[in-house]
Amino acid sequence: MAIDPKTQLCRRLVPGIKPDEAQALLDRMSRVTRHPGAVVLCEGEHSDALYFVSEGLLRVTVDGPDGELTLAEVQPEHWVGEVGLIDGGPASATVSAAEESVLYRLASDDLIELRVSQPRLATALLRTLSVDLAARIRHSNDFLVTQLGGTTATARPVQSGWLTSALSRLLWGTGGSA
Amino acid sequence: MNSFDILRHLPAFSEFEDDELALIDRLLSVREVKDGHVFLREGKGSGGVRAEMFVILDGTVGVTRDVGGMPVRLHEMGRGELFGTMALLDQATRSAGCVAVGPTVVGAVSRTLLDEMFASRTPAAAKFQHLVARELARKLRKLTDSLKAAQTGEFEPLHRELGLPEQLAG
Repeated sequence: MAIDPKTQLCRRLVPGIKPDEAQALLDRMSRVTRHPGAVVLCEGEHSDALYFVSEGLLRVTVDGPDGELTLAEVQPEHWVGEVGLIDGGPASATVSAAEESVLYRLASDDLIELRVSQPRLATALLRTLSVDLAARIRHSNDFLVTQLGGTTATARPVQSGWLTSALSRLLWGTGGSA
Repeated sequence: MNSFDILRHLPAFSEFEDDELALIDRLLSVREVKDGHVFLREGKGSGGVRAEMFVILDGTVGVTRDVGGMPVRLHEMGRGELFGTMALLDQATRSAGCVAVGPTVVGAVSRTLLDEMFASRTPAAAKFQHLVARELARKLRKLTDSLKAAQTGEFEPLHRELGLPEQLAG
C-alpha cells in the first residue's frame, strides 16, 4: 500500500516513528494556509504550537536596534515554533509567510494528550526536538565564545553581523528549524 | 523525606501521577554530597553508557566554565532542576562543569536506565522527555535574551551566560 506523502514527511521529521504513528500525529494537526505577509508567530507574544511547513516559504525575523533583521527563510519539510510548543512561552522571533504557504499546526494541548494516548510517538517527537535544541545551544555557545574570547564586556563594539549570525544559529540552527 | 516524596513536591514533576513518579523514582540513584563535589567536568566525554543526568532533590548546584584555567561560576540551579542532559542527547563533551554549592542531594539517572524507560512506551517516559525538552528550551531562551541585549550594546548578560566575565577577559 502506498504511503501518503504527508505521512512520509512526518516520518522524516520524527525519525523512528511508524506509519500509524505518523498518521496519529497528522490526525491531531490542523491544516492552515497563510497568504504572503501573514504572521504565523509574533515575537514576544504567547506561542503554543508547532508548525510543519508543507508548501510555500516562511521568513524568520527579529526586531533589531536598527529595525527588522531577517534571520532565515524556512522551506517546506521543516518546522517552526518548537520552543513555544515545549514550554508555552513567548515566541523568540516573528515568523511570517513570504509566499502563499500551507502549514500543519500541532497545538501544545495535543502534545499533552499524545503523551498519554501515544507515548512512544510523543517521546520520539520530544526527543527529536530536544536533540535539535541541544545542537543549537552547543553550536551557538561555541560560536559566541570564539567571537567574544579575549574581549571585555564593556570594550566589545556592537557588530550586528556576527550577532545576527549567532541569533540565526540559535533560533534557526544548522539542522533546519526555527 | 524520601526521594519519592521530594519528587511529589517539586513543581517540575507536578503533572506526573503517583505511579509515574514511582517509576521515575526507581530510576534515581540518590546521592548526598558535600560542598564542592564535582558532578560534571567541562570538556570531559559524556561517559558513554555510564553517562548520567541529574535531578536536584535538595540544595544548590553551580554551573561553571573554565576561563584561562579558572572555573568561573555562571549561575546556580536549585531543587527540581535537571542538569547533564545535553551530553546524554548528543554524546558530545560536557559543555560546562557542575559543582555542589553546600550540602546537596541529587538523583542520578544513567543513560542505560533512561534508554530503558524511553523504550517502555509509557506516559511517564513521554512526560520525562518533555521535562528534558523544557530544560533545554529554558537554556535557549536565556541565551536568546542575552544575544538580543548584546544587539543593543549591552554585552554583560552575554558574557555572564558564556562565562566570560569582564574582570577575567581582555
